[in-house]
Amino acid sequence: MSRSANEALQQPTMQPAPPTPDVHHAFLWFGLFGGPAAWSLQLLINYPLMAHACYPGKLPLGTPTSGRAWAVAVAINALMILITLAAGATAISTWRRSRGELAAEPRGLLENRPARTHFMAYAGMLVSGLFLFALIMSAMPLFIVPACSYGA
Amino acid sequence: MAVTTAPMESTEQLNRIWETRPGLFGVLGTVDHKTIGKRYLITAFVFFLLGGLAASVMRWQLSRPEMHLLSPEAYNQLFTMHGVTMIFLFASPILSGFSNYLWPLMIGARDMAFPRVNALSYWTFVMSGIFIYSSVLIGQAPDGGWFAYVPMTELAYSPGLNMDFYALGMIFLSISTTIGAINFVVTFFKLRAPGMSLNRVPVILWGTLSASVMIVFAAPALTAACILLFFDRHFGMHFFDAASGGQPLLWQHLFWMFGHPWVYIVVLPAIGLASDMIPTFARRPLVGYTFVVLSTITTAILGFGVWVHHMFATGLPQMAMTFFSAASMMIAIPSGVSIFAWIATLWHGRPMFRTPLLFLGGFIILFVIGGINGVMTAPVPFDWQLTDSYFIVAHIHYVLVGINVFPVFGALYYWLPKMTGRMLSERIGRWVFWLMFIGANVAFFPMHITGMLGMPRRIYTYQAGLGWTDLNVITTVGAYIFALGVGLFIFDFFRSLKHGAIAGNNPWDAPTLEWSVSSPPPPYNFAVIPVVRSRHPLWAERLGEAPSTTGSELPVLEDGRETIGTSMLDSRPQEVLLMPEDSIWPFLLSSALLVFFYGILTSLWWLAIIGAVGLATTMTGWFWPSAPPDDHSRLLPVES
Repeated sequence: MSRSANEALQQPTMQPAPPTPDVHHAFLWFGLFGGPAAWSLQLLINYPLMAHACYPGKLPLGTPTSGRAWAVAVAINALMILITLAAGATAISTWRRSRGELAAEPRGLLENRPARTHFMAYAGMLVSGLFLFALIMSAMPLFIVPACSYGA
Repeated sequence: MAVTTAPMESTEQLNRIWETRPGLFGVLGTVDHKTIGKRYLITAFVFFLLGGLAASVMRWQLSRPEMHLLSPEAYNQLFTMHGVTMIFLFASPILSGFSNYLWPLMIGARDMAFPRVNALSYWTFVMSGIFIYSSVLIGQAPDGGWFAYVPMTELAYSPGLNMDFYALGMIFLSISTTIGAINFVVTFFKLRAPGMSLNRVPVILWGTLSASVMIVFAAPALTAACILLFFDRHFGMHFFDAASGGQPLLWQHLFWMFGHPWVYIVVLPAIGLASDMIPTFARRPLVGYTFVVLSTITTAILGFGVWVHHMFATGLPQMAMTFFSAASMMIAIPSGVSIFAWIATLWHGRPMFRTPLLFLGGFIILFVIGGINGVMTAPVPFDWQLTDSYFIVAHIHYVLVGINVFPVFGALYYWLPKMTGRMLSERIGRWVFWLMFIGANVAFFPMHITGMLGMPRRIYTYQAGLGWTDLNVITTVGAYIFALGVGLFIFDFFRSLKHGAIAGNNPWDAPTLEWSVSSPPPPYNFAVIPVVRSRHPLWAERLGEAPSTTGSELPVLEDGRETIGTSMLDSRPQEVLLMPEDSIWPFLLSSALLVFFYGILTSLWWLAIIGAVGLATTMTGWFWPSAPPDDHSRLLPVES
């Protein structure tokens, strides 16, 4: 029975039609998670960078140990914004190419076009927008808040 | 949805294959996801009652100034156990219960991806709960708060076993949550019914998937923190000892790297529950499905970048804190998106105000209040004014009661008929809702004011004349009204088991797959694995979408515990998976872990060695190769 079950699943009618267009998975995933990855990297680099520049040992400093820390943080933020923009552009491109998926009518029992490429591209556009905003929000204090101030 | 029934002899055969054996072996060895799910729900609910009992006693103590019902030591233990119980032993496990029960039914599978790991996850949860609660029996319950800040929890200031129970109990519980999370992730990507591509997945699956991925990354931080604390306390190390070059802030970093994601871990699946219930009662599909799914995923990601907002008052450089302040404000956006999607769904639908929807309405209101008073503390200066005050107690209760307890009670009213086959009372349900909703607001809203009047959290009593008394009386009254609502629910549950109306397959006329099978479902879930071509399989025809079917052309799969494995993105059928039989090993492995942890706790190394030998023995037994299946073709991938 199991052999026949496997064989049954291999029948062409049992397999959904491939998504159209055939977008490489790397582009789909980059469009979806490029922005979040860039934002995460920005946080993982800039937080320890600025914290260590102001508080390298047991006592807090009034000025950063290195004048370059701030410049590096700004550069990292700018780079991550560019990566997020690239991810958003990738998602937009895939979204435009995959609009035809929605119009396709499913045929046969399992022969259907799941429109998941379009779904993932649309999701990538929204996610990239959100994380672009998050990166801009993280960049703003670099120009407003003194590097080594303490309030508590 | 066209339902294809299997021949009678097939269903009898499937029953024989999937039914749990009667007797002790069946009780301890079952791997049926439905049984495990119900056990999770019941066990977590028992912990909810224990945590509630602790809260009731604390509220009596605080109802008047200078009360001496509790000593300061007893009060410390009570508020710690209340927090540990509600956050770790109730809020997350109860959602695991729903997910365990519902996932395979919602995705058209016959069980979770790793049924024995599922059983191990449950038994380890129970054993860790027993371990933590055994501290109460010897009067040495954890007493350093649920986030156990050092140096107060170091040996010098906390010499009893109290915080050892905490540190080891958290490590113990992390084993359960981590393996459970891995099981959910694999199930999501491999066991969805043919045709259930990523854009057709019920939202609760996205919520639990996001939470599970978070657990895999967050739990190690807590485990590491607790191991370091235990080393400090028992092996003379100084990880958190400032006098010897250690860093007390390291604890806070490690704890909140875990702790803040944990808040979302107990929230995101509940948001999923709400997102799947609201369309049923609005009589229309969810507005902005993609937005809600994305808000779940992005909340999970942003949730890892906000942990320092718990540490704004620790003297960190302001520039460093601003990154987390920005992320804390950003995270309000996806949460807000979900709320607007729910409101729009109800606005454009024809809402039926049944009990589950009342709870979801309460959830939305409390979620908004909890979100607003949370985002109020995202700006650093405001946080400095209110940190460690009752304002924060109000915030955490609005968040956790609002976003976890209310959707959970709504989900109980919604899905218990599927589990028991009987409806709960609509009339009693309305009483339960109003008592809990009024009770929650009467209890928690005044806490904002007591906080702003200067009442610090975690004080066992206070002096008269500070202006806090009346507000504390109101809070206590609210807490007891809330408890009355919970008690009434318990009465309704037991009443319904005998006297509730018969539920039938789909009492709510809901759109998802679990409502296509009987209530309660058969042991094998689906005689024929369904084929999905819509996000709302049971509403597809009336929505003009392609009808889903139970796939009469698919084989019944009755040669063993079999289900269909599918591809990650599009759910293309790939292989017939052979699922494991019931097994006693998960229970024995968890029992060995319990012995091992008691040995470590008491420094009785011989006991720890017995536990370790038990672990090695049970794992050997578990992984010992069994006889190969009669027909090797079961394991051949379809696309080979």
